[in-house]
Amino acid sequence: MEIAPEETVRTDGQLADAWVTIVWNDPVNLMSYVTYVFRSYFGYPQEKAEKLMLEVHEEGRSAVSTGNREQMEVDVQAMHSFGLWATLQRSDA
Amino acid sequence: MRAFRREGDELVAEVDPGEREVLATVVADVAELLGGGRFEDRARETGSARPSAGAGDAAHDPAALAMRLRLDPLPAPDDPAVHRLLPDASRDDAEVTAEFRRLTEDDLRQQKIDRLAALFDALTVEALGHDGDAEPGAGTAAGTAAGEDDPHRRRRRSRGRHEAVAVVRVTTDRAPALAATLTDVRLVLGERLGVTDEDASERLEHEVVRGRPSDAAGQARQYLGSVFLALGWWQETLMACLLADLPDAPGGRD
Repeated sequence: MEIAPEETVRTDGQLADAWVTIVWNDPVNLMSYVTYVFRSYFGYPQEKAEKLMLEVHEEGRSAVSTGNREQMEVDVQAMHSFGLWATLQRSDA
Repeated sequence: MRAFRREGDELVAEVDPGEREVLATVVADVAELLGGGRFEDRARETGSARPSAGAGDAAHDPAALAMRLRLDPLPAPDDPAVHRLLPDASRDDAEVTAEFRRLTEDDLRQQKIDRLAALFDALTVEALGHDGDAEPGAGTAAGTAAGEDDPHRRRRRSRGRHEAVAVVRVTTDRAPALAATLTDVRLVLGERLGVTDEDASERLEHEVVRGRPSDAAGQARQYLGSVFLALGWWQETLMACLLADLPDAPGGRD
């Protein structure tokens, strides 16, 4: 589908600075630990934490939080502190 | 090494003296990779791997303050194991990665070293205090009394009167930091052992259980592999306790 460039420009400003934190799969981290981090740090319920963990495990990556760049830097730093491999990027990337 | 279990406000697990020494050494090795110096040396001087109050604290130490106010870009770590502990914050944006590293790497490094020091102490000094022959902290005092110059002091200190079993205890609020530091140690071991994907992980397990290496390199690999697997199992038992403790009530971010 083709979208004219001007149509992609948001006018409400809500997503103008939308970033996302991505957690990447690695073969060392325990599934139980990753679930625990998603529950304890983000406060996600068990079901959501497990779904995100399985996404990481089976699809290689999962977007675990969204916000502005500064918020995502805080989340990525927390993930690195936990030993999870995380990056941030613009949510449209 | 036995499974963690809950005892009141603490999570508790026994570690055999031989395992404790192996673990303490691996923990000290990871701290050294991160630039934390040799824990054994600091423990010998002060009775604890943790820095004394004020040292390394930006509020007291001009050098630490200067590190916090880092203005120049910081290159990625050369050692792939250290790079794994302090990874790039972006896959494709060098500016994001550089800015993130400049702002966070010193803090992350110090945090990881501090957590490793706490585990090192738990495996050496503090474990003794709960070993049935001394109160918590008494191991430190006994160590100091044994003389500052005795190179075998730490070895002696890590041996209680009851050598069969040592006990590692961690309060509930410090247990997540223990889980994180076990992760850091396993990440470094995994990198060194070439555990790059699930297949490599399975091959390693097979090697450790079935392998009969004849050369020194193969034996060293099997040894490190067994430590890696044992730590994974140990952390799994810790996670079972921690997950059971989490409240079920929703209320986090959606």
